Amino acid sequence: SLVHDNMIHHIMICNTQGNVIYSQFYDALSADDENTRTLRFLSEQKLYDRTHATWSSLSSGGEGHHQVEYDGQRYTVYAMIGDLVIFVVGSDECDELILSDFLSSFAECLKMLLKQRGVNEASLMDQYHKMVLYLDEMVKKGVIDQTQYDAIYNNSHLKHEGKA
Amino acid sequence: HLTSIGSQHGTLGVISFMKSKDMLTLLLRDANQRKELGRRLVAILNTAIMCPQDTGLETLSSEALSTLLKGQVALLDNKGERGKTIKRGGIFSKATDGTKERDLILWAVLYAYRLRFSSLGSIMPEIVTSMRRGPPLAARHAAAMIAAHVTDTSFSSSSSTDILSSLRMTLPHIGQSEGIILTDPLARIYYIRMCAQLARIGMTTPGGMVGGEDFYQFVCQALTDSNQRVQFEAMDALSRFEWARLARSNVHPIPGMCGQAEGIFTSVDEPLLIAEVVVRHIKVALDSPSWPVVHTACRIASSLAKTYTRHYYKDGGWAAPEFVQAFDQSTEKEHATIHEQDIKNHPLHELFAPLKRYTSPSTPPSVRTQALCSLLWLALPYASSHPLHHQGTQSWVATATTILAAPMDELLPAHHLALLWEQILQYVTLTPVFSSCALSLVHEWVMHAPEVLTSTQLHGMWNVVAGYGPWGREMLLTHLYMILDACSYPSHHMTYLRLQNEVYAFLGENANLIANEFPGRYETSDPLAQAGVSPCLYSILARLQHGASLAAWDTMVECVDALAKIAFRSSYAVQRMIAKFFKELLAQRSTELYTHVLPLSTLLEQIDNARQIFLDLIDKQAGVLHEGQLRGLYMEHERLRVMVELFCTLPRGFCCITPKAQPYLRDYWSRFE
Repeated sequence: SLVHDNMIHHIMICNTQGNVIYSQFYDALSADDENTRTLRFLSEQKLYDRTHATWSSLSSGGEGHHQVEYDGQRYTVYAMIGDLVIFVVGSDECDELILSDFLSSFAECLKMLLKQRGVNEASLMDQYHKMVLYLDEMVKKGVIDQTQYDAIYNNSHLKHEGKA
Repeated sequence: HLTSIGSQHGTLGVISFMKSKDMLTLLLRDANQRKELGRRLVAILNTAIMCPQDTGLETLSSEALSTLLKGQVALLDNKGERGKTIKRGGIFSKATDGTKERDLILWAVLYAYRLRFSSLGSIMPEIVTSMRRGPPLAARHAAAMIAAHVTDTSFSSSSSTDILSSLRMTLPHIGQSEGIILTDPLARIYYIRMCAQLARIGMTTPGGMVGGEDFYQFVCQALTDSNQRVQFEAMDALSRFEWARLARSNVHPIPGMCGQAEGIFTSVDEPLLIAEVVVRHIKVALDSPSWPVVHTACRIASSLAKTYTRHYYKDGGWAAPEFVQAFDQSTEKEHATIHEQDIKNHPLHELFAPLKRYTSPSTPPSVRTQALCSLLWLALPYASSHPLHHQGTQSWVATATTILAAPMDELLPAHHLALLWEQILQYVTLTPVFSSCALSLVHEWVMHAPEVLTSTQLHGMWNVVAGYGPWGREMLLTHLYMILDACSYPSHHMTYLRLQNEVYAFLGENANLIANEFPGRYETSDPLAQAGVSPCLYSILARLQHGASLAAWDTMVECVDALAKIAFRSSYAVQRMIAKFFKELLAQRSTELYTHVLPLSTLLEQIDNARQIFLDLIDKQAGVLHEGQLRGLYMEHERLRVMVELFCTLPRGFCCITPKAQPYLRDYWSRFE
């Protein structure tokens, strides 16, 4: 397809202890076989190793404080929302700024989805299925689509023509 | 038909094929006929995501999507049923004209097409129309597909003149009222990419007019976009052009251009220089509290500074291959003097101070690395006596040294240091002027963070400097000896052993180049050559012999291998020296190296014997060898060559026995092979 390396590669959500709650790959690592599962695990481990030293600055930096990591090929932007750490990995036109905007949009969706109990691991697990639906509206096969909460909400309920 | 399919795929294959086909048929039926819009859109998207990769089904879904797209674009062009109202059920619902439905279906079709298909085929005109007139998200996907299509290696301007003409008419300053209006920032990003690519490859209409300049001008105009990401995309795209072209380009105010930032132009008629706009944007971004913005600004600054530096060295003649070979210390001083005049004209020098702020330990590692990389490309080498020395490369080296010598918890991670290294290597490859600073930095690296250096990185740097003529080789040898002489810190003991082995391995491979040693050197009538082994080579041999006698086991093996490689590629005098040393090692009766040295020593003796036999034969027969003797010489040479190439590679046409045998071997080869 026309989607090659220039896209979102990986989205991951974990708690402050480093346990992965959600992890979705959109590149070659999205295949489901033994080798790829091992590579996915190694990729997640590498992401953790490279970033966990700065997690303390995420909480102290306040809401909307994003950190960035670049290894020469891929950009990683991550932030702490509630007690969750959210990572978005991309390359090419999905650079730091686009990923930062995407992360902000996703954070807004999470806050709206979990507004009753706040953004934390327990409330996310309760609404896990909706979070996955929202993400599915935002990005398919690594290509960013909707980023406005109203459109994401309406589309996930098959009300595409709905008003904001 | 089903039987033939079954024979190819097996029974299960037939069943899954039929299921896939059924599924696709259902999806396409829903996509075309379903009344609920939401389900219709999901069906369209699922044709791209869920169907298996089968050629027949791909064609089917591609045709179906193309038909849908053409229908929706026809509605966009008012050729379809746009005026017809669609009445919704219920007494409280309003009649709509179907615009929203048309826009949503257009978005879904384009999204599905983008996710699934690589070839735009015959629907390119519809995609261009969708980009011009479609809703924001549909325009984004259309622009992305066009950008990917024009950057594909199979795209050529000569075969796509109609499409290029229609794309040219989408430019606001060309098409005027027909010009494109893209409200989505990502769509503008893809459009800039498309324009940058078309500006690079150029285009020629049937009338012979070259229109690439129009696309280039749009990319320049995009510097004034209101969205920061779009501005950076324009800067990144421009950094891939030659600096000479950027220096003479301007940004003009275009009234009514979509997305143009307010207040950029002080006067309606006054254009701005590219460099001015770029410096302004990057300075604003460097003051941002957001790390992603700062990181992007550093990266873009690095990219633009690299473009300027390449222009500076290339145009000044400091990077030409002829120049590189002749570079020496006097040329370095000459460069520094000339450069004094140029520093005030550096177009991006205002960024040096803002970028330097981000080299402190409190900055996130990735941002620090990008700031360092951009400072590297902004800093041109100055002599220490230059009044702007504190802003020059020495200052950068001092900053980098401070970072490398930082405590462990403030040290940059290994992959960031590798990024920095890559930039240094690119700079050294560009021009020899930076070599001395780069090698002094490598030395600091070795002293403070040796574990992050790999053999590939080290050898890459050393090979580049060794290619810079006698000056470069002398400097390199001094640098290599400094590394060998480095004290062995207890905390880095194993790492220093590894580094020393890297130096010995490099010397083994390159000593002949560094010392200008070759087989025929001492077999000519040149009196200088016959004075003895050159001091440079002598010092290298002394180092290697020391390492082969008094070091750790793996270092001794490395040194012995290095000596053998030098011997096989050198003149007779050097071979004899090394052979004698090997015999002394064997005579020590040490079991450590015996089995390693013995085959090498034996091979050197065999080469010497073959040489003596050949020279005696030449003397006896006045330089004439008959066929049997030629064949014997050839067979012996090939046997020795095979044995030598077990230890090192030899240049083509290299004669192992003696250079005097080369004409005879060539003669045999031309007559009998």
